[in-house]
Amino acid sequence: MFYERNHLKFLCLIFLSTLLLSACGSEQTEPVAEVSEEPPAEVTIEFWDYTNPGVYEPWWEEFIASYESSHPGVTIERTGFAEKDYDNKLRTAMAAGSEPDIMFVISGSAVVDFASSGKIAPLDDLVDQSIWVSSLLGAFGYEGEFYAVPLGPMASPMWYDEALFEEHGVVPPETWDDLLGLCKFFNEVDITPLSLAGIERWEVMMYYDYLQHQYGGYDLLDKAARGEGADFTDEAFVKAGNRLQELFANDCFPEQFMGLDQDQMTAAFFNGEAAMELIGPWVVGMAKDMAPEDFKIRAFRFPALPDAIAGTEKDLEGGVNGFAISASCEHPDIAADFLNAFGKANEDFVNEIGYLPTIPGVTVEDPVMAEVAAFMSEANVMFTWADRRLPSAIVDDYLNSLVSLAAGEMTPEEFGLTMTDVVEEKLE
Amino acid sequence: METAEIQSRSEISKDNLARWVQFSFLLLFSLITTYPLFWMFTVALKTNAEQVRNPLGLPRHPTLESFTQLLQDQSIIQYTFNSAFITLVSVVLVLILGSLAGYSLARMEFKGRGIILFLFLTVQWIPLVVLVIPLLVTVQYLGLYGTRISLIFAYVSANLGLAVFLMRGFFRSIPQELLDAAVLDGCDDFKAFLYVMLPQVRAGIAVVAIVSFISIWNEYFIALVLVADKAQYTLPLGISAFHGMYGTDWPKLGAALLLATLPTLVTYIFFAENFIRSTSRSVGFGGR
Amino acid sequence: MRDAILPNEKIRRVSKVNVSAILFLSIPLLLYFVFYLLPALTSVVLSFTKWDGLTAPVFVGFQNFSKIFRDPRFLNSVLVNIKVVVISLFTQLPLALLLAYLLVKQLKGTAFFRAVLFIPQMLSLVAVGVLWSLIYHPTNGPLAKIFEEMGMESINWLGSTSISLLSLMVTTTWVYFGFHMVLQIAGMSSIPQELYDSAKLDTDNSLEVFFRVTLPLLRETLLISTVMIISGSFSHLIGLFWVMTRGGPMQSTELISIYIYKSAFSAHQFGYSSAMTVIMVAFIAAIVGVVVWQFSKVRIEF
Repeated sequence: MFYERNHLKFLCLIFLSTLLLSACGSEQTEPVAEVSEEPPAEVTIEFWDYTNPGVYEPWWEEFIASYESSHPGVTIERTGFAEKDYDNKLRTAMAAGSEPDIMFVISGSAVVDFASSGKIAPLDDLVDQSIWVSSLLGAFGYEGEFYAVPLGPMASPMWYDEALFEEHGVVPPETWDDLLGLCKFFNEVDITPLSLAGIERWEVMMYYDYLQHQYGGYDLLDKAARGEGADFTDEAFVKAGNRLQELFANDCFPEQFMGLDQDQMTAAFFNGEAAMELIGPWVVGMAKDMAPEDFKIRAFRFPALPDAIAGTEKDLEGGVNGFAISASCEHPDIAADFLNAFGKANEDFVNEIGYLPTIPGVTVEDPVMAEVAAFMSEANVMFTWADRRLPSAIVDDYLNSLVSLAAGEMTPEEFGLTMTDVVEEKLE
Repeated sequence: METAEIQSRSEISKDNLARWVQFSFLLLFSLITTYPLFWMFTVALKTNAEQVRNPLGLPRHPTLESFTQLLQDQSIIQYTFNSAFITLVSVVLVLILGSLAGYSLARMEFKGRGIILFLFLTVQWIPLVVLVIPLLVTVQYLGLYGTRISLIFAYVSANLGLAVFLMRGFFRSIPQELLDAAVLDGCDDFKAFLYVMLPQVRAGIAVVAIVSFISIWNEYFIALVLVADKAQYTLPLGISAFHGMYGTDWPKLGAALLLATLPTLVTYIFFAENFIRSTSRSVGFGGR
Repeated sequence: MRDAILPNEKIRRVSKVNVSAILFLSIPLLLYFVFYLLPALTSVVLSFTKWDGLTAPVFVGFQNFSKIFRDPRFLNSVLVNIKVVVISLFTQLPLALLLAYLLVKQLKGTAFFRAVLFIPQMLSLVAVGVLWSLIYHPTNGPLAKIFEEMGMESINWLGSTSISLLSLMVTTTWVYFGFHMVLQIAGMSSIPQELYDSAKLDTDNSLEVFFRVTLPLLRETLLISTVMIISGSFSHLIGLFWVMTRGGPMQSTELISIYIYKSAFSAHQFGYSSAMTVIMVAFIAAIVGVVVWQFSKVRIEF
């Protein structure tokens, strides 16, 4: 014979045994659909969230445990994912049809896309609306209904190194001229005024967000992004672009920001190399663990431009983190009940974890966060960051163009033309 | 075995100088390559605040806390076992299947050999990230979502292309006389493969084992997509949680990365030492 | 070395070989087909559609392909990739050969060096990315401090469009040279000692021995290294480049694979990214085809 049966069998045996070995060793996590075939009292809710360092995970473990014990038969399977790849994981799962029952979302075009394609369920009739601040629910709105409940508003004011400021006898700026003057001052004492990074690009975007909001008002960006009623050549964008370049011209930013990443940007701020930073509220939690003992962080509002639209100076930028329920969830009522419970526990959550409140009447214990919460209540509007707000097809181009603008490779007018072309091309 | 020659004095010292230069060169490179391990160790010994303040410097008050925290972390231990299991099974499968396929493509003639070689060769140049959605659909369709098998099969397939290519290369460089001798002795194809050819490509086996081990052990993206719950996490997934936008635990990250490098180091030493002959030793034609 | 089968054997073997080949190949091919080829085929099919992952895919024919060739960003990424391939070949191969050669000749501590020089390959990309980003830090990094000491202006290693790619290539070489070194050592270890001995009878010059004996006999492993460097520049470097620069600054380090990734997972244009993948693979196949063909022309004489 040309081959011996034994050897063939031997081969198959190796292969099959490894197969069996792994199969036996595997724990099969069954999709919710299969579980519902069991007696109706047994329900498993799959729940995907960001994972955060510190006390975030233990808080959830405790909360879920107490929910499960007061709701026998319900199992909440929560998995926390690193935020950098959560979007990919979720999108991939959605494309393949294996999305979880409850999923973490950030307000903006993603929620709109999920809602319009019917992947997530409208929550108006599922959850108890009265629990939450209605404007936060509105952040997840689509065609008159809302599609997620808030986990925490990520209000992003500017932040300053209070100890450093006291040492130098200065106060945070209120107007644009104040800011430029302060930048000049810090440059003279060899401190970078505004910390910045360029690798992820959203760092530059956050500055531009405020600038174009003050000049353009709330819905200009949305209109321009849809190409309806406005486009990026609008004067507001040009003025904002000029102001951005003005900051660079006045050496407000580190010269070599293009080679820095977000970790290095915040490290510079914590280390006293830079005096101020524009970033989301998670920096407060970061500071507790990563900044020196004597570091005191405090928030201040983005300075008011002299020619801004009235009333926009008090507005804050920031997305709202929230939880949505999948349209294919087998037990949306239970998922909704869980979210209600979470909403009601918000005061405890806020003070344990350091997030901003989502329900009315919460006393924020941390003084820094309390100040931000006060800013929020005085704001007319909290607008989502552009990279979450814009349709995903044009975000990359938008960020790239902003960086070019920042680097002086593009004029504000060219920025307008480029982005208008992009909108036309990509959003037919 | 050097033939005994009498070298002149200047020749000896030229030799010595050459050896010295050689050695220093290798040493210099070794410093460049070991530095990261040293650095990760110093990071693990600092506190988080200290690491932020002084990322490349030495710890002022070294503490082993990050290591103890890590080693007591039940989930990290679980992830390590998951990774170990998946990687070992995958590597074994890659070796077996890669050798079989590589051998047949190297030394057998049959119709379609070119096409099959082409398939193994070219398709593996598609970066895995692009295939992720169809892969997930396939896995779900087969009912394997969330199982370790899905990950194993995905990894084996992803590494098979390279393994086949490498093994084929090594099999091709064996002189035909060896195979002829084996056939003359009465070996059939499979026996010839197992007892004669395979031992000749020990170096190839080592390379494939090392390369696939490293690529699977450190793999992040496919694991992220295919793994359904935290109990199934592989080590790279677990470690990624330490480094996020909302904050990074640098000492723990450094300790974890350092510990994650150890199995790779062990695997490499095992295979490199036992399978690759680095000093010239006699192989000879027709050796058994 | 002859790797063709002797004529008188051909007749004897043909019928045998087919069956064995099937046996040897069936399981690998099956696995490969289901878990790799099938997704790849799906990817090809997707390249003719427009799909965002949420709504149903829409068939658009060759539209994606025609868009790609008119896309300046794609053309830029092709240029970046070509630069990367060329630089990689000219840095990694010689370095790997040099070190392999030294190690094979080295008497003391070979095991130590072999292990240690391979370390960069074992590190996870996070470690490599973070460390090298710190090294390249424009003001606080060791390079910046050295430049400061020397009174020279600091260079923005990762942030300057002209230098960024080169900085990344240094890191890339550092990461990958160990692998190719081991590969060449493996290749060298299968060269029979007899050949060296007979070469020594002809010449004493070790350089000559290297170029005339060692190098030609390393044909297979050199081919493997070359192909891997070429294909790796397209498919594997995405990890390192993403961690360190995300393809910036201003697309100066944006590889094709990075643009594909952004197109898929940022812009959610899976059809377009699939089409780019198809083109990229075809491109790689063409290059590798030429390389393999050239290598096969090398004659080895004794």
